[in-house]
Amino acid sequence: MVSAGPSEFWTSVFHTRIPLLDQPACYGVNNTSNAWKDLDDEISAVDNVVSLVKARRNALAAPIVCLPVEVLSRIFSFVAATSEPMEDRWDEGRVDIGWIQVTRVCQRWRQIALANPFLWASIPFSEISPRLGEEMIRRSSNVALSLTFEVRRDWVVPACAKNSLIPPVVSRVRSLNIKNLEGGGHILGETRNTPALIESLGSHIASARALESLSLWSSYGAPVYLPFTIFSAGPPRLQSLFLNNCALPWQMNCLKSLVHLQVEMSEISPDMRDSVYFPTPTMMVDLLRQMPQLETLTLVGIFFDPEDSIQDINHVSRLPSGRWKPDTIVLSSLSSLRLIDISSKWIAFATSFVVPVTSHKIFELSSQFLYIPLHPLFANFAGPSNPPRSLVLNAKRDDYTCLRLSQDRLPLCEYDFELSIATKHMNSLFSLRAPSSWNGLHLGELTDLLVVDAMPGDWPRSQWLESFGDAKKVSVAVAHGSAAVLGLAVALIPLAEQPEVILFPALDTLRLQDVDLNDEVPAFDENPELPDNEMILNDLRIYDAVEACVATRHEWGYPIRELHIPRTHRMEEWVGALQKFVSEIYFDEPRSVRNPFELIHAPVPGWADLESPY
Amino acid sequence: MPTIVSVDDSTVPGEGSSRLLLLVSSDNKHIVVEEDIMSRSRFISKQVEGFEATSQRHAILLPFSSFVLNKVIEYCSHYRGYYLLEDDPDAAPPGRSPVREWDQEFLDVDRNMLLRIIKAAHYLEIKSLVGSCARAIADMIRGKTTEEMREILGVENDFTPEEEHSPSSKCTG
Repeated sequence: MVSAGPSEFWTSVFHTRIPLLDQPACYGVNNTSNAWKDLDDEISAVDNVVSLVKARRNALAAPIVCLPVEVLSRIFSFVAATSEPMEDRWDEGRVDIGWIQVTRVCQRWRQIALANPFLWASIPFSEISPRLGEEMIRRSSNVALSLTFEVRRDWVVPACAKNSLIPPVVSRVRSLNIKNLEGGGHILGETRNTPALIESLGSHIASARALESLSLWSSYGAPVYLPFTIFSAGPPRLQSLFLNNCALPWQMNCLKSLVHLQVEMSEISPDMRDSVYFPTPTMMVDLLRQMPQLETLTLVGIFFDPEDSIQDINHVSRLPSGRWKPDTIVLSSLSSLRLIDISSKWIAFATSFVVPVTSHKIFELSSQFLYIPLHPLFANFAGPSNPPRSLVLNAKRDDYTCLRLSQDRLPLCEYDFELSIATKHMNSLFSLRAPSSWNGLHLGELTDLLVVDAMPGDWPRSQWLESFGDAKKVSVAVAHGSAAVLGLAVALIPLAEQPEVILFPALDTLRLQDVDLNDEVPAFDENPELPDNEMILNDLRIYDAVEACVATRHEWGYPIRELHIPRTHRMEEWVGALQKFVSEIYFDEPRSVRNPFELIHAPVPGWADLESPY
Repeated sequence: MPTIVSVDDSTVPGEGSSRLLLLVSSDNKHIVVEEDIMSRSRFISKQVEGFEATSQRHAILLPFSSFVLNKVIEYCSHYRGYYLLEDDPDAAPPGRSPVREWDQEFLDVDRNMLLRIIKAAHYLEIKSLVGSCARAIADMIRGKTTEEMREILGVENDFTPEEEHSPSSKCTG
């Protein structure tokens, strides 16, 4: 109970206390330092009292300070999970863990944050001082750890991390993430010999009983060859393995228990062949057969030897037609499949994957060398009740040439590509990219189609009709050049001799998105990016084609009501011609489609209906 | 614990396919809500189990206003029948999953309201709502300096000068 007002009370305390410190007898003449110290102690004590009063004030005025401990811990954990390391304001040049700011807001927050071991369990070793690393390990108590090393050229693995810090806690490391950035190849090791950090941590990783996720990312130089020591004896609970430019010994037993596998190779060095680091089809198929729990699979740049004969591969059978057919591979948990720049044989085997109907599949299939084999693969996953959530077929700009070459060079006919080409009921394909051939695709009930970066010329009208006859809405986006716009526009024109045959009879909105519709489109010899089989177009030809399209459709009773075309300086010339046939014309600002995938992943109306509210 | 008072059965129909609960807010507003809707609340579920054990229907008094209670009911109504991972006591805590779009709009309220909702959700043991609110608050303060956090949240610096000027050493031992 405070009997007097605060002013009177504290003044009274002051007058009682301070004179004691003023007694000259307390200190000798040469003992002023003691006097200073005593006064500092008094100030410190007063500060503590003030701090306590302010904490009470916070409790009253700032409800967030007084949220329950578990709620504040939850808030802090969300902040910690998404905060980037930041420079310490008190120590120039030193980088601190980003969420540390919450410990500096008020006393209660600090107490709660310091006492929550989970907050300290994600340790970005290369971003913070070794001392802070040690402190974080100490504060993390006994909870599972997530360790990250982002290795830079000027960063040397602290000896303590390798020798004294990691070994004692390796049994509770749940996630280990090592990134080799900015040409720090010498840290991970550029050759088969001496992958420094990997080598030193390898034996520890093998004995990491709690390790569930291992990510090794080398972005520089030749592949890092992972030592057998990492995988030979474990880790027993490893579920996720993410490798970039790190060669994997594929025959390791621990791979069979993986739930997530991602291997990206930028190049395969010649000395990898004939080694355990080179995945043969037999090895990969055998491995996948033992991984029914696999949920995500990403393979980038994983090649088989083109000379490898399919007859030598297990799990293939010969059809009456004489073709080879891969046996079924059941991946009952697979929800995401990304196969990019992989060999034709891999694609052939992927056509035999059986995945659950209910899974949300995200397929990103890309081939720099082959496109045709993607079709049966796509068809395999696009059955009537099995539409993928997102499908990206990505053939690169130079695929046309490569396609021809590869058809000659590789024994594609060995595989049964006639399987499962039936996608009539697929209505959710909205992200095709660069289809250079539509042979065999039947997408009769398609309602949304987004074509990005399409190839010119070889879009046979009959194939369009067969494949997309019932589409009601079509968007075309072109990253380079404008050939696809022309190709589609031409395809949309009804044939005079076959008036009953019309592509997209229900189409009433046509939206063209292009980057270059102006005359500034460079000619081929000025634009080395365009391959020699690319048609060089300018807005004149495109608008000609579009005008012909809308005019003819209008004439035949299939008018386009709404037309979106990019704005150009010739706009005025075209308005008059087009508005006779189209009710609404929108001249959009030209979009610079630098990344076609932005469009691919753009929300598509109607898809929301398919998704749960979360 | 809330005060539980007996209620007339005629006020709260207790049997049938859609049983009703009577919730009484701190401002003494009586809100009737289907039991199904509030089943996401562990607290309410436990209360209902208690009713069944004693064969008596009760009103449940709650220590927050009808305004806040209605927001919570709105949330529970929206997710009625849906499985939310965060509310599964057997599921591992979700990691960095993004905020659900509907939740973002639902929680587009002022700071004080957000705090009232999170306290109510915590009281009612609705983990998914606590999580969404916590994410929303985390979004408010992420990347901010200490001073900015204090300003946003209306918190006063209650550290002593010594603590204030050596936060790193304080935090890192």
